[in-house]
Amino acid sequence: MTKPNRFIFHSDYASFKNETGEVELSVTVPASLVIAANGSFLASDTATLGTEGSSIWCRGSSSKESSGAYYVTPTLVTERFFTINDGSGNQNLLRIIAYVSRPSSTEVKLQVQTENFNPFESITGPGTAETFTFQIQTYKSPLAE
Amino acid sequence: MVLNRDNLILYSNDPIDKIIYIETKTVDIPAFDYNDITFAHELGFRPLIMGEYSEDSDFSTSNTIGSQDTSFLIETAINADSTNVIISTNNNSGSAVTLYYRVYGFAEEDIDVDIEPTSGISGNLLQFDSSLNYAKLFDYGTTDTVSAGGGTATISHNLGRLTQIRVWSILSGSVTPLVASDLNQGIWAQSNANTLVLGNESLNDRTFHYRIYYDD
Repeated sequence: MTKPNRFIFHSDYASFKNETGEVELSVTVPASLVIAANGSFLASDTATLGTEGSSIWCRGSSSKESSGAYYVTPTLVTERFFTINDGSGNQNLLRIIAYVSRPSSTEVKLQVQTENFNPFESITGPGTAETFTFQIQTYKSPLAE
Repeated sequence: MVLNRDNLILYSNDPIDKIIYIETKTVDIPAFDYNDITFAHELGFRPLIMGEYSEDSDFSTSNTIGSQDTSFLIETAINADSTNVIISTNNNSGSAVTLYYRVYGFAEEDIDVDIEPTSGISGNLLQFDSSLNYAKLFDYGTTDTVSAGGGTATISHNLGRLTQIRVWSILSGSVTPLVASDLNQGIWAQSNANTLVLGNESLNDRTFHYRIYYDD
């Protein structure tokens, strides 16, 4: 045994190896999106990256957040007001979830999802579109062959 | 002259993060139920814990522990204190599910103790492969307490570009990886070219541990 923090690298301890390549995935929530009662919105973007068991390291942004800033997590959750289409002008606050996963051993996928929990009325989203963009790398797992 | 460290696989000013803890677990969760497992890590200190899970034993698909599940039916979480690791799984589907977990841990920099090698756990795989690159640790630290309900902490790295960053949240002595930035109800980590901002919209005061890598 040894004290690993005394070394910049030590072969007794595994590390995350950066796999070649980086991809950028984007998904847009359209302007004035209409979601049916009890319905949902789901859109995705997929690219080839990584090997079996790779660990995702990524950062993501929303076009409605401050310019040039990225959130350094594989999931980004925002909240937006949607108007209930019953003529009342009332609004519901919906959570929009953008998240990166690995649908296969050679792919990464960005999905954006929100749900209308109103069982009676459709709802209409903000008048401007919102684009979620994630820059993704993968690091080889120490347990992967 | 300033070296471009991106062109180097190893640079003596910036250590490579060494994985000092590896564990694998298989967890069965009945339909519409949960299964929380606790196991001792025996490190003697609190590791910076993280990991992946999969419904496939070969990890042909995978997801980050704590991140949103693609089906919206599985919820996972992991945290660790100085004694134990706790993995929590909720199964909101109508079918029983088996999840496979791969858990890793780093050590904070003030940890100066002997640690069992992890190279044996990872088998005959190369520990260092010069055909690949490694994330070089540029800066790290733990914030002061960040207040609930809107507190923030700002760390300046002044690298002039976006870089790789990992963050952990610390609450009541337990550490959990930050894998979801919830801008309205939770905690978040935002970076730009020169700063990292950590925000806390949750109900509890927290501290954060951050690790900023030179690599972009």
